[in-house]
Amino acid sequence: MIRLANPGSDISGFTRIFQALVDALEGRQPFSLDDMSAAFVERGLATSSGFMGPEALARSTREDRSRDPLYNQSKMYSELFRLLGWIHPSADSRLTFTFTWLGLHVREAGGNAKDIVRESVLGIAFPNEGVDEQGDYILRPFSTILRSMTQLAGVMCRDEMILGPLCLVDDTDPAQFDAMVRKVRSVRGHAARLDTALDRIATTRRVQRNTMENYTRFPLAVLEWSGWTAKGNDSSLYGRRVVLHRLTDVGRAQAVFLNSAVDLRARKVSALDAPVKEAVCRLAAIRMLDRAGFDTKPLRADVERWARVAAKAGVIPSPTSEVVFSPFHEMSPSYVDGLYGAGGQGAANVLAATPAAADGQGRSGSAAMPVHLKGKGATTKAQGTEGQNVAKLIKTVTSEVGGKPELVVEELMRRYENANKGEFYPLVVGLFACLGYNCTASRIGVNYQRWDAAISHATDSVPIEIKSPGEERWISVKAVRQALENKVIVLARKSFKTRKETSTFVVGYLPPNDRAEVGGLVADVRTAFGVNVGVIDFRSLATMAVAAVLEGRAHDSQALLNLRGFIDVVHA
Amino acid sequence: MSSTLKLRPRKASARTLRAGVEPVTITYGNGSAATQITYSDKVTGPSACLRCLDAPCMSYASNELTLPGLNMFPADGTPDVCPTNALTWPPDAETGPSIESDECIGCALCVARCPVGAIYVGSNGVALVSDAETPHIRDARGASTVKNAQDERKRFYGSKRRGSLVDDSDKAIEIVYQRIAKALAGKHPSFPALFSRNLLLEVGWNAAMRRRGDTNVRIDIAAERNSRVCAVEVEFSEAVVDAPRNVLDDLAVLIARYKQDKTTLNGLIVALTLANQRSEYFQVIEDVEKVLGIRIGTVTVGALMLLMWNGKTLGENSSDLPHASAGAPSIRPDIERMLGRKLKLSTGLASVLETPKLAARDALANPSAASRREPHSRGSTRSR
Repeated sequence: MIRLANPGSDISGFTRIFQALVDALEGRQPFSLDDMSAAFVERGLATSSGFMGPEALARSTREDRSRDPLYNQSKMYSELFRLLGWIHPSADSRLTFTFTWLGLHVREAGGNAKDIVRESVLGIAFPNEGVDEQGDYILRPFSTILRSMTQLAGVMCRDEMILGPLCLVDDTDPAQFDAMVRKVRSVRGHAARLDTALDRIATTRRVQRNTMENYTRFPLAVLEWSGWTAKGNDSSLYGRRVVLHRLTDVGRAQAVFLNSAVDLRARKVSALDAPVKEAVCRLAAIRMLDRAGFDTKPLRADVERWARVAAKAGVIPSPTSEVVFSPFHEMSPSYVDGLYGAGGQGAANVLAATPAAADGQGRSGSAAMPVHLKGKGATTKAQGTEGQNVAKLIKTVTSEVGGKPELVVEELMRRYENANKGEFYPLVVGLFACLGYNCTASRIGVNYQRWDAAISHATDSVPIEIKSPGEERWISVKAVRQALENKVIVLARKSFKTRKETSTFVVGYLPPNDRAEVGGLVADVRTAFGVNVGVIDFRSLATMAVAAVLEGRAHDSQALLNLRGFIDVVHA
Repeated sequence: MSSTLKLRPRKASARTLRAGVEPVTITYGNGSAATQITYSDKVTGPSACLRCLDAPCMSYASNELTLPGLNMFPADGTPDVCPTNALTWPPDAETGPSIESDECIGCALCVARCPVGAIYVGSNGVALVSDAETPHIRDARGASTVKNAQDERKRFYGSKRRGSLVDDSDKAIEIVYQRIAKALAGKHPSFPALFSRNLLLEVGWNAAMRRRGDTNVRIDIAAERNSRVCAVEVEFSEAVVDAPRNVLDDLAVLIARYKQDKTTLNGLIVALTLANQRSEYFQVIEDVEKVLGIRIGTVTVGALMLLMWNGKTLGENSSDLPHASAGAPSIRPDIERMLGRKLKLSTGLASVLETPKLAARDALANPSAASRREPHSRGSTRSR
């Protein structure tokens, strides 16, 4: 299957980003990926690690560039723009680039770029001399998709696209094309057959089904954005609801055009004599721009001459023939630069020196705050029914796994890794109760008790926002927002005795997947509103509770009730 | 490098306003008839499309999408005016822009953007373009340029504007809301944010929306008026009850990371409909103001449209936003203050101005309230 990476489905968005990039870097070519990142900052397009603007660039930059988010974002865009033929690697480095003549026209098109983007995607074909190869595939994917849809009653679902046009080895071979259409027809209407066929492809190509599905995202987004297809749910084809992509009138007209136009490929063009090759490339480029709405009249005499040369050489049947071929995508960068000039011919003009590497550790809110476990021998009485139940559970587990507290904690982690809120909330309440707190769960359906549980304390009561692993496995910013709201409500309505600086807790199964993002928000909430959000993962809470129940070890209650950021349970 | 080619000029001939006459009054049709223009020669007739090459009815210019107070905001600079792409103008069309009636929601954004009143909302709630030549607005010889179009429409800027783009009737709001529901179910993933951004722009704010898919920024829209920045959360679903806490997240980021002044910073929630009174939304808004001193405004897209239809602005700045609270879960008083008149809309209609519970309470207290009609002051002068 042909692999088309998924750069996102917002085609208008990445077109505008490219146009902003041309505005910023046209006079500073060739440009590097760091220059692209700096241009994103300059144009208000940069975000990284939860930041925007210059701070995004500073926070993104890592010594290990493979872990640098903004650098990787620039790399992703550079690959997409290369694929579309809008930029080329410069002659001396594959990691510096110049804009192609086509790329400059994309900027020129401004808000009317739809046609030139359509032409650019139709220009994508494999193999080519510009970007990486796609195995043995000889394929112009978007043309093949549209043309095959006309043979298949004007509709296609995603899985048929995988089975059909995206797996076609050589679309220049009419027999193969027809066989591909027959193959899709043969499974159409039989969901099981389609599944089996896809499984076979996955096995043969050693690729996961969902990876294959990901390769369809970009084509599907382009088809819909271009107005070539419209999607809708339909159960008539497979007896179950599938998303069907249906050719629009615009899509049909495009397919008709593609069927009638001369589809040239890089191998054929490269083999032509130099004057013919140049004429064909120039003609194809002008035809693309003409169809994209550009005024090609100033070049009429040249175009007629190139067309005559191409026709005389037998490349096209007549001088008026339409041609589908994007030299900017398919020919080698050095050849195209020879025709149109490189984007800049001076020495490299690097917009921004590589910024100093930041630590990449996020903000101070990511730092863990210690809560010390005290020496053995304290008597902490588990509070309430939930506390006693959980203390009993801990003792039972201990007898099952042996006496080591860390084994007990791991067993609790294992047992509750898929728990839903019905199991998890009482467990969390019970764990706090084992620590000696008067902790109660909120009653279900009571709107004004927005928190899931609360520690009731003489001076420092704490609302608790709980996320069971069934709701979210990793603590997220959403939970932090809810914890902030809980604190605001407690303070406003005086629901409990508490102080502003007393923490508001988030308890979840695992620490955040994106520690910097959650820690950043915790720090921001502290800076902006003076509210402390304590982030407690299940393992830490269980560790404290098990230590209390099995070893009589108390904890530093003041540190816990004033926790700001992530908890770090420290064994004294 | 070879120089680039230029886009072909549009096929449609440019238009010009007849020499020697000036438009004096532009009278909108209140959502039922074409806009009429009265000229200095005392003649009154329908408006007609000037076929502006830069088509302000379709696209915002880049200088209209700036946010001076927060220029690093990573905005999705989409210039589209129509949130459903119902308004199109293919380069090879021989007429002016046209509107796909199935896609049009009747919001009148394009009507507000047309400098000469050539677009109006018809009685079926769909926008239409008056493209026919008139004795005063005629086809011009030669190709238009952006500058020509701008010079030509400048002649309309001093005209008095009368009437409203759409009358504030229950029927008008119901039609638009039905069409919004269809758009939400359709193929426009950016619809809520784009629609809200454009409405904010049309009621006198600078506004920039975040790029879809950018996970590094959580602020839906950053808006600014009179040098005061406002974090805007857009929520068209029942999740509107989560919006106050999302605004707090936005404000925390703006204060802590971007050194925005807490005392001048506010939040605004743009909702499709007001939250149910039982949902605690309004109570949380009150709590936030009480504890953190932050006032979070609430406005519905319906209320924004009412302001736009009447050429009014949404408050003076971010401290003057419509505000609904548990004690008064209604934005009607604020919107009427901004309009300078009473609205005719029934109490509780589509939860645009009041919550359903409040509407029900009023209906119990005064059975005629549900169908109450306030007198509407026709002929208000639109200020531009």
